[in-house]
Amino acid sequence: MIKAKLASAELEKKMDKTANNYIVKFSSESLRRIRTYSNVRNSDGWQANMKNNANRLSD
Amino acid sequence: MNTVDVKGWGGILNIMRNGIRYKAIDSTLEQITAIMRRDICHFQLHYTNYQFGVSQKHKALKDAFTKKVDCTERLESFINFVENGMSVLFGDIAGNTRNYFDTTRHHDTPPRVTIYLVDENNRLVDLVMIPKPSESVPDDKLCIDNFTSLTTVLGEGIPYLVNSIPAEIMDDDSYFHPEFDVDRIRRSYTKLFSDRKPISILRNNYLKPFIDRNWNQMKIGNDITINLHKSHLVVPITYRAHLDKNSLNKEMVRLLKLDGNGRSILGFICVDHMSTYYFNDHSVQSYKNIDINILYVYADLLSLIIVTYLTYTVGSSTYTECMQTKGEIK
Repeated sequence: MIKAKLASAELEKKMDKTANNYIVKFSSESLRRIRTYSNVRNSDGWQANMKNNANRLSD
Repeated sequence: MNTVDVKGWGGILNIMRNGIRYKAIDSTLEQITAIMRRDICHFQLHYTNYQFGVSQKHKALKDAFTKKVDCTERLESFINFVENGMSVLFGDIAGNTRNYFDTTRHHDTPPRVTIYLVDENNRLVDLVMIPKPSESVPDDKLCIDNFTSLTTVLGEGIPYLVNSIPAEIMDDDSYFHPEFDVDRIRRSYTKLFSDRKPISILRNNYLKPFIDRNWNQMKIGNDITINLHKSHLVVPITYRAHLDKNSLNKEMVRLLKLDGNGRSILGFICVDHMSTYYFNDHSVQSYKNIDINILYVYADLLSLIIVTYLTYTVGSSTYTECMQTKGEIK
């Protein structure tokens, strides 16, 4: 019963807003290449490519 | 009204069997936890392979560099592996995110999922977008400052949710988004009665998708899109606990050039949908918003990939010196 109440209280909590946020920046050349890789795999091909990718990542 | 229609006998049987459901998400706890279990299991395997592969390629590069032999080939192999692998893992997570939304509701059309990172010129790069539209936002407009959604997330550090973009544009003069012709919308678009919350949710659950041709013409430029989105949700890829407890490893913060005093936002995961009230309508700050809880899980998985990438690139003296030798970086 106590546990259930604690869980419920957790749900009622709210994330606070934070003011001091900072965006991390990446190399434009690197992002361009990664984006090109992504574009080569069309949206419907992701699942089909996964097996090949898994093999490649295991190399 | 163009294609409004009950989803055949399947829709009617659904109502008879389960009664009328009035929620954006219609899934059981078992179904949602099964999706998460499967996706995290999949990620565990592929991320492990990625992390190990990157470390091995980096080791080979370091060996060549230490022995002062030509490391061009090993550097290319390393870069290819670390970037291609990142693209694969990002694509998997974007696909999983899309699948989560598609599985947990009855709408016939899944949402569009985009993962954005920002480059040193302050430009947004849509590393993955599923599905890829025939015409997206021009590159010169891709900047955080051009999106109310992203500036809000960056400014306040919380997710951004709008379940009715037409209403938001008409009610909030400060709303901007480079995909919408906001002036034309305020001038000539009429909000639909059927886009109100109760009707939207029932329509999303029980009717065939409604194509709003007038809305589709509100895209900027001459292109008439098939399904211009009417609702969207953005979650930051970040270390939230770091800000609360300052507990991220200080050496790593320094090495990866993160900001030790603030909260580093590594990127954004954005979900757009053609229907109004597609997303859970609880406050974005509340743990009761299931869609945001789930998106944060995917965003946290993305953060692991990004930190691995940063650790072995900008965080690596071997990589940095090899790139300097090649003249790729100063």
